[in-house]
Amino acid sequence: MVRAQVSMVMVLDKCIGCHTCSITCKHVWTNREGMEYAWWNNVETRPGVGYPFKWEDQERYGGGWVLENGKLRLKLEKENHYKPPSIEEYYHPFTYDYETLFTEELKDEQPTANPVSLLTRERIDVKWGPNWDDDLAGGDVYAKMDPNWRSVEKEIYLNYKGVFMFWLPRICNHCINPPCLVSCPRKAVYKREEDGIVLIDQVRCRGYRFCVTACPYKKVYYNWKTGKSEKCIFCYPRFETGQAPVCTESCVGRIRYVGVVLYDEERVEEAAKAPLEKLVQAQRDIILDPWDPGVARKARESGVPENFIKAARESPVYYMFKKWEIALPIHPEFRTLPMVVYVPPLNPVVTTLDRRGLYSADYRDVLPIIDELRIPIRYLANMFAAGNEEEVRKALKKLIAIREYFRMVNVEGKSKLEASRILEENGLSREDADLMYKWLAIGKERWIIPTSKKELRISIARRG
Amino acid sequence: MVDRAPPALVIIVSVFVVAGLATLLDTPLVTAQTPELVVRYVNGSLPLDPRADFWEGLDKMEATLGSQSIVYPLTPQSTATLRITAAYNLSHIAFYVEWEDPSMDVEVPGGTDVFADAVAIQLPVSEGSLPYICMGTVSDPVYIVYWKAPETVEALVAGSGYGLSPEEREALGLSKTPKSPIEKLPESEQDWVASAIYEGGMWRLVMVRETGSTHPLETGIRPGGELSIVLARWEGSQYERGGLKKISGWLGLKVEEPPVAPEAVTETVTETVTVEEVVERVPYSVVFVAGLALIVAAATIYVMLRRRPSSA
Ligand code: SF4
Ligand code: SF4
Repeated sequence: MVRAQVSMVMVLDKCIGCHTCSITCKHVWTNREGMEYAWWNNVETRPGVGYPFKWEDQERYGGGWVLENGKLRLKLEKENHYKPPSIEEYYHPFTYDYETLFTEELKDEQPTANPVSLLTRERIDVKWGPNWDDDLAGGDVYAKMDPNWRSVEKEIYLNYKGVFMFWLPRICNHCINPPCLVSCPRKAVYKREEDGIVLIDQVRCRGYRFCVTACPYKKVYYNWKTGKSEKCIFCYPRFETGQAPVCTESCVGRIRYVGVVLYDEERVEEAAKAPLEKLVQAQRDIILDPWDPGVARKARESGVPENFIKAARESPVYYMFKKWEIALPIHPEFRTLPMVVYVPPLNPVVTTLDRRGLYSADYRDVLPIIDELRIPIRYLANMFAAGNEEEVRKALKKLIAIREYFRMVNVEGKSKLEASRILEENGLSREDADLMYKWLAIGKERWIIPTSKKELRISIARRG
Repeated sequence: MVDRAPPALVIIVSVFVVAGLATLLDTPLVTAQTPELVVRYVNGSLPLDPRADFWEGLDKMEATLGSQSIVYPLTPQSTATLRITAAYNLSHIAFYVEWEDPSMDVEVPGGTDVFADAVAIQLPVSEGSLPYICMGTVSDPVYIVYWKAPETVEALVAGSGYGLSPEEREALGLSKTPKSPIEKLPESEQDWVASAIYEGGMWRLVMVRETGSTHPLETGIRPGGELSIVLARWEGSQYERGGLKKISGWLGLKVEEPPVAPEAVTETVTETVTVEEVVERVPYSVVFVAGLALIVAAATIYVMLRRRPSSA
């Protein structure tokens, strides 16, 4: 059976850490009592620990799948780990006592608005927050605790010269193999047949929070006011009418790309069980080529509407994740087949001072030292490829190649034909380069969204 | 010689053998359910206050509960205890439950990892039946009163949902399609009143409801009748919720006859049939031994019969 899945690419080099995505999401969806602490979209500074505190550490949180004797098991069940994160692990939600600014008597010092708990309304000392270590990467407290340092000599990167940082925006990944869904004994969590958006039925949910624990990305939040769990809904009311999710629409850095991919449902389990080093490839393998007539026919037979097939052919996600292999899933080792994928950061864009004293990014100089880029490959591999460094190298090389191609054409005045050698070496064509340029550099047509089942709409007589 | 099915005699003899064996093992297969607690009749009011002396004065049944081990989510086995008693008067029935608990767990604002202590009593909808212990079946549903610290109390029904048509469900005040195998009864049936206190490392809880049944999925209480109940307990500090719970087996309660038949009560009680003889759930080991005995006996007798010259 062929399924359509809505998905997102985030190009990390472009994120400026402005948090506009989080704020717009908050205002649209979670600006309510019971959800004060919940950020369906959050942006983390890396290296760092993220939100909730060290969410990637599954020994602490019990999320995701584990492979045991060839079978997939929920980690929470295998290890009897049913505890969800505490509010302090998320953060104690607070506001400020702005009233004092108006009511304070005249004094020599300026009046101060002190932090006040949104839960108890009492004054609190704020000691931790959803992006507490914002912009402090390399700081000697939180950066050290980042779980992605495995096999990296982190000390090098924590001293002043070696420091690197990037932002990591996160939403629910609307996983193809979602443990949140499987963990719910009430079957309240479901994945929509038409587009794969993962939702929680608010009538069925009884607030047991198994999904909160089971999601290794900690993207299900318990609403303590309603007693039910909630999560990112991929702005489905917007999506159904052809609009991008709010986080994407409002993204200042234009880092987010939304599209549909088609995948082979029968091979999902096999992909989720792949050996660690093959997980990225296995996930790519189940994504089908929407131009293949056989795939399109099977998709139609499976009930995928025509406009979804068309959208899949123009999908930036298909190109970046499957065709060009520049995007990678976040923590594939959780075996969830997450469908928000990331183009890893080159940060900083690689430039060297050439002999003529000009800044350039000479491809030939850079490629041999790809392992010496500012962000250690191993760190990125731990985050985006279950430790498989080759997947990261492959993606970064292509990103460098595309830059070099355009530099050769636009700066050095070489012909496209001549410059295309660099593309070919990396398995890219000139058409690919133009598309990449349109999407990654100009940021045009960042989302290709099919409206929901157009053909099923009732036609109503027009006025006049 | 042509193989034949064992004659009727073989089966009869085998049944005797099994019955004998079961008696030896002191595990009767079919038995009148012996009530373990008597629900006392009270001529007067039932105190809602768990501290009232009244509750001190009643005999209590101590029930040992074990971890639910039938469906996901499962946990390693452990046990817990509840002490329960009950009383009724002309109009109401009250359950009193007490248990030791080192921590008082109630939901709090922002309590993302906080789970409340809770207790539930499950009864068959029809008196005399013993439904599937794990929340009933379509043909034999269960009625559940669920209390969650400090003061939530709900009347629920389980098992019935999927056996009813949308029209039947609507007529019963349920949503057209079932959203879950366990459902809240309509508001009109949410007639439990509960009062609980936590003191000195112990919860004491009283839950009161009218004796009569006003809904086909509500269990009625009949003077002189018998009640079967299953107790469940969730320990908040151990993150117990949903299927992470401890449950008892079926426990028998006898509703004491009032000294003089109170007319007011008989008017409100739903007609139910008393079944004196009920089949109890027999431990698997007994079923296994009995089954084995049946096979051995059948085989022995069959071989004996076959050794005799055939009259055919
Ligand atoms: S990211 Fe978490 S909440 Fe979202 S689908 Fe995956 S497991 Fe479920
Ligand atoms: S709005 Fe865009 S650029 Fe700003 S933090 Fe969010 S993802 Fe990054």
